[in-house]
Amino acid sequence: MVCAHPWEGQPFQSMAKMRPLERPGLPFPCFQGVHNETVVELLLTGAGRSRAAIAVSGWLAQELSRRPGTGLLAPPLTVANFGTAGAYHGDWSVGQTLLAFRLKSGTEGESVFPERLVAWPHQETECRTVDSPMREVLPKESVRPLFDMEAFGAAQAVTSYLSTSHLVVGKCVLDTIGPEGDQDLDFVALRQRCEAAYREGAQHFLDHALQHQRFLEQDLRRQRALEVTSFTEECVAQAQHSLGLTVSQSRELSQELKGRLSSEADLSRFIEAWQSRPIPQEISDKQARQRALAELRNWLRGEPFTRQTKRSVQTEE
Amino acid sequence: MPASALPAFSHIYIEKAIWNHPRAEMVRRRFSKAQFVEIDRAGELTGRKSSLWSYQKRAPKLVVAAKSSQLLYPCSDVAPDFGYKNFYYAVPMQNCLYDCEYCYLQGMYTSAHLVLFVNQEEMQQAVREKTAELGELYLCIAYDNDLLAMEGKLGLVADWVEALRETPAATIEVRTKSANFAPLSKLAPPSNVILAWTLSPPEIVERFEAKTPGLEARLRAASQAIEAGWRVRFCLDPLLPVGDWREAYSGLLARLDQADLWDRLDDASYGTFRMNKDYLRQARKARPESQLIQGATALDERGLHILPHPQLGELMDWIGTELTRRMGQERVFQT
Repeated sequence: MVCAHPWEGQPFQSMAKMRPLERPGLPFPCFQGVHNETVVELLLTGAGRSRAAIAVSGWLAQELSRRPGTGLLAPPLTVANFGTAGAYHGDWSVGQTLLAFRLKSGTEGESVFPERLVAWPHQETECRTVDSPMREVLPKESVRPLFDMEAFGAAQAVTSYLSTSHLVVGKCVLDTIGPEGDQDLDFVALRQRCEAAYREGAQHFLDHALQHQRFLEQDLRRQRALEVTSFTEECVAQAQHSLGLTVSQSRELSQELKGRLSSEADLSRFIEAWQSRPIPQEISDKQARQRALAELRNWLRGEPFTRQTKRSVQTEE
Repeated sequence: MPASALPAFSHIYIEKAIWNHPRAEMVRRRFSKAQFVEIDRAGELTGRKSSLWSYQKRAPKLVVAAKSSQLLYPCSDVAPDFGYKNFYYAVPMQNCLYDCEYCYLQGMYTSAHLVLFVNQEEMQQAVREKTAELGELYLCIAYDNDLLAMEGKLGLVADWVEALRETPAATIEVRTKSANFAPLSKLAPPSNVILAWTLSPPEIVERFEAKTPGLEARLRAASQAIEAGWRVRFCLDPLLPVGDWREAYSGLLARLDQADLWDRLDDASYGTFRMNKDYLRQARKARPESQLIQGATALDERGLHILPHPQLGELMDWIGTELTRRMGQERVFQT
């Protein structure tokens, strides 16, 4: 969970009963707790998109060094940014919580589209990240945007390290912009006005973020890919040790193993067969090594593919 | 508690410049429950390398855009030309509702979202012009999509049929795994359109063709099309040498014999799983768990990656012989 201001993070701290978390080398306050049996971490970035980008990048760099992986093999981390935002007067009500389907840099800049994967039963809109509180009302458009100061920075960090599938952004309307807006109220007054609604919105958002997290965790292809990759690495390391493979031989063997392993309904069957093969000790003779490698590859190709059902629900429109 | 994915097309992204295009308006009407999002250009969503195919496939979205690049493409020799000259393809829509494990689209595009192009008329005009220039044209419009699967919502096949009905020198192939012939049944059968059903044994459908209709449903749709007077082709492609392949494909041939449509088909094609190097590289990233994608380590004589199965040639030869026995050599094409 990524918030700019301590006040914005407070509902998450209390919902997940968080305690301060020491992250050496990361100069941003972190807290950790558990909500609905899921570990939730809160990162407070301070105001502004640069701080958000730096804080999230630093956090991800630490996290991914512990749990490396790219693409589908990346850890199923959901980075969820929540906080307050402004809206044009009349577009959205104060205290309303919305999910962002588009994050825009300023009013004209580039965009990031968080991948929408699980249902959000409330409203969604575009969130534009600006560098200072928005005062000016732009000509009326079909979009009814929100304005914040961090979301795009956090999104840039997430898409650099992971993907748009790992990003969720929600905002609660704190103030309205325009001649009939809230320019006369200070931050404390604005905060007090929507405190209860903000807490409720934060709760809905946390539930949504955890659903999103479960969606990533429960991806069967990802789970399968992790098993295949991890055993492939183990087998190649073993073959490397005994046969002294070159880089390209390792790569080819790794690819063949992946193909072979992906065809197994039950990996343990293959692992058992692999482990029961007589593993040659280190072979020093080059020709003997090549013969052993050829035998290994033949063994990999020998077995027929086993049955594996992958079909999901049949759908036709 | 398991997290359920959003239904397909919960969000529809429409390019700002074509927001009021009649086809974009049609999409907004027909998907009235969707959340519509204005975008500057389709590439903002589909061109991103940071999107993940597997997650997107579980909750695919629709992008509505104008096709600004090439409207017609010459076909590669990976696809069969069925003896026609001037083999081209067009892309009225990009990507597919189904989720076949062997599909080359996962190597071709970085995003699994479907992209509907609004300027169909421009593509159709390009077909007329190219046909006039070359004298005749053979055109596939459903290589990078399955148009018939979306026909109930988008009506693109009917649109192309009517648009090119009066251009008989252009022969159009619509490749599909859909069972959705009903929307076309009210049209007069055109003489220049071939509906080409990809057929696989139930075991293969079950295992490798996620979200597709089963063999029986496809066969029923093909029979309806033939009964209604449409030209139909069967494509046994890709043939996959998995499990007890002889039993699986014998079962398929027996079922097709029972359907007794051989004499009423235009022709049939068959081919094994194959993918070019660049698509395979991308597909391996998209599907790190896939048996077929990861296992395609052998190369054929065209330099395409194929499965290194010792009985692959046997499967090909056997299916070729069986099809030829039923349809005659001149109506059977190997890819």
